[in-house]
Amino acid sequence: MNRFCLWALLLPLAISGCKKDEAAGADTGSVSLEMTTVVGTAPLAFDGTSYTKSDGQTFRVTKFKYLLSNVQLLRADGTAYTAPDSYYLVDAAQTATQHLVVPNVPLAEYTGLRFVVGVDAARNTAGAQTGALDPNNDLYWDWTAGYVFLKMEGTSPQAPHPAAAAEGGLRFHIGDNGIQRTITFAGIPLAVTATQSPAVHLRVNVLALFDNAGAPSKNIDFSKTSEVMGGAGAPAVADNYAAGLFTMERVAAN
Amino acid sequence: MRNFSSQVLRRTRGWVAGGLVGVIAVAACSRDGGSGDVPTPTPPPAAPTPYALVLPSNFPGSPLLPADNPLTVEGVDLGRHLFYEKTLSVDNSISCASCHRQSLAFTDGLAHAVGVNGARHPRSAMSLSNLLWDPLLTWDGTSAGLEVQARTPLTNAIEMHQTLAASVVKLQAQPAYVARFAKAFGAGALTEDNMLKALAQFVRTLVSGNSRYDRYRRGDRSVLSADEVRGLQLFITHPTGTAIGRGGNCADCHAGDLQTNHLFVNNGLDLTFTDLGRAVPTGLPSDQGKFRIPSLRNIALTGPYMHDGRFATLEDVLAHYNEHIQYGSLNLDPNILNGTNSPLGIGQPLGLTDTEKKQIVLFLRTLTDSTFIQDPRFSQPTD
Repeated sequence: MNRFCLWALLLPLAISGCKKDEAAGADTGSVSLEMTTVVGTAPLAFDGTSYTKSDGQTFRVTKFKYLLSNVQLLRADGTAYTAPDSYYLVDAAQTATQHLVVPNVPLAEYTGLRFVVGVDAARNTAGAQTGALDPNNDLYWDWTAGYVFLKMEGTSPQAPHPAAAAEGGLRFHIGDNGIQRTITFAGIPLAVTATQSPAVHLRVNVLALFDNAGAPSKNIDFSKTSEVMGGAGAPAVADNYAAGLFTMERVAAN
Repeated sequence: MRNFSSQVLRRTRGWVAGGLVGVIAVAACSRDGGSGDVPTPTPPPAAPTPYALVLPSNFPGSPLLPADNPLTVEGVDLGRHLFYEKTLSVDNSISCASCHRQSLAFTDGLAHAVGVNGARHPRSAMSLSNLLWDPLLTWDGTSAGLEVQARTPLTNAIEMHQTLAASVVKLQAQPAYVARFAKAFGAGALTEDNMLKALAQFVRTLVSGNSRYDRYRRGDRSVLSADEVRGLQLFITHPTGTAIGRGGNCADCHAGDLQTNHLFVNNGLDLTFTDLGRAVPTGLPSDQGKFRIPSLRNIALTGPYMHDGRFATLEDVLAHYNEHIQYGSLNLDPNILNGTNSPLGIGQPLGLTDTEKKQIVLFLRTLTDSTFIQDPRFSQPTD
């Protein structure tokens, strides 16, 4: 092969190399959130697996998804970096959505992480939007023009059901302004540097919607509560998941 | 209207640039190996033109457009010809359009599709519109993507029953097709893969978004009657027999502007399953009896209804959801289990009145898009 030929073959590499150079030298990095969804100690499966609550009631899961927003990275001095326009849809049935990236984070030694389950009041009532807040993501109430913050569906033999059915339905559609719940993890080393883009690994435990060890009076009894669609029943479930849905497993410095 | 031409343009420009580099490299190498004569530069084949896909403004902004098969004017045109091409069937008797007729929103009006030699398909032909948002296709989700899906009806023994290789041979005998493939994909491009890609491109352009319902969604409140609006309200409301209000319990599954959340559910048709549905490809007992939630676009045109065409009319469909759900059916969807208008609450049937059922049917008829079924871009080509 002569020199001209070789040059032609290298041309595309040269072009892509130029692109990479443009991106380098930035003074920002990224933080990622890696969600692992479980029910108690078992991985969440949509294959009909039956799970057991603390009161012995059992249930299966057919859907589990939620909106996560307003990500903040906390600094030791009490201030925070607020990631602009940070709205994420997490669907436990879609692996890719459980990997969240917060881009363009100023390089710094952060010491914590904060986010909201659901959508802030301003955006919740701003009508149909795009991206994670696209009303076609199955987390939107057309009649109230507001978002479902968290949606769990499934079945349970303890839930009320028609005579011919073996199990009743579970529908927990949690939303409405006033029940946005903020999750904070403080005291964790989150150094975002030119070479480090840390990954925060969170365990997401569906059981926490129904079992609240710190406030057992808020535990959900499926025979009495199997259907929540915003409204009066939603705050207790939101309190439950605020208390126990997310557990920090580890931070990978990467 | 949201215009995706710039996105398509950008992607296609990249592809064209890569192609030109390839041409330069090949030309340079052949010169090196040549006899030393002054070479006659071969003009590169004209690059295909990006197809400007225009999406209704009320539709989701994330259609599935695979990077390795960008929409081009020439590719879509080829796909349209192939869609209506009867030589793609083993006895040259049927084309894709035989079971997907534009006048019926690309269905066939039959409970069970009819293939070559009168073979009856166990399932009903699905409507083809707005499929560029559906990650999994057909009633059981076997096919991920339209390129993969196109293979099934072409080769299946009870549909067109011809190998892709045989189709390629038949098309190669027709100079017009050789030229169309060359325009769409380059010289020597009459291949099995490109045949599937072209068909997928054409089907991706079948966007239906100009029904009266769409115009209502885009802000024109005058296009629906009071009964139709009431039908829409019932359609989007999940009823629990409480103060939330009465509802038809439709939109948990037939959600959003596309009227589907793209999932698979058991909607209580049968106590025992002769067709396992989603469990056919997944093998999971928890998927038995589940079928894809179809969009309800043009639903008044696409009967008979359900995967096996068991219901002749929309009134029959409403009667099913209201009065004939098989509550003992395995894997029945929680949204159905928990949907009732009865003051007795959950555990009761849906309980719509006759008037409410009629209002929902009236609303469903507003989903008919008369421009879609007459759009000349989708009709049988005459050239």
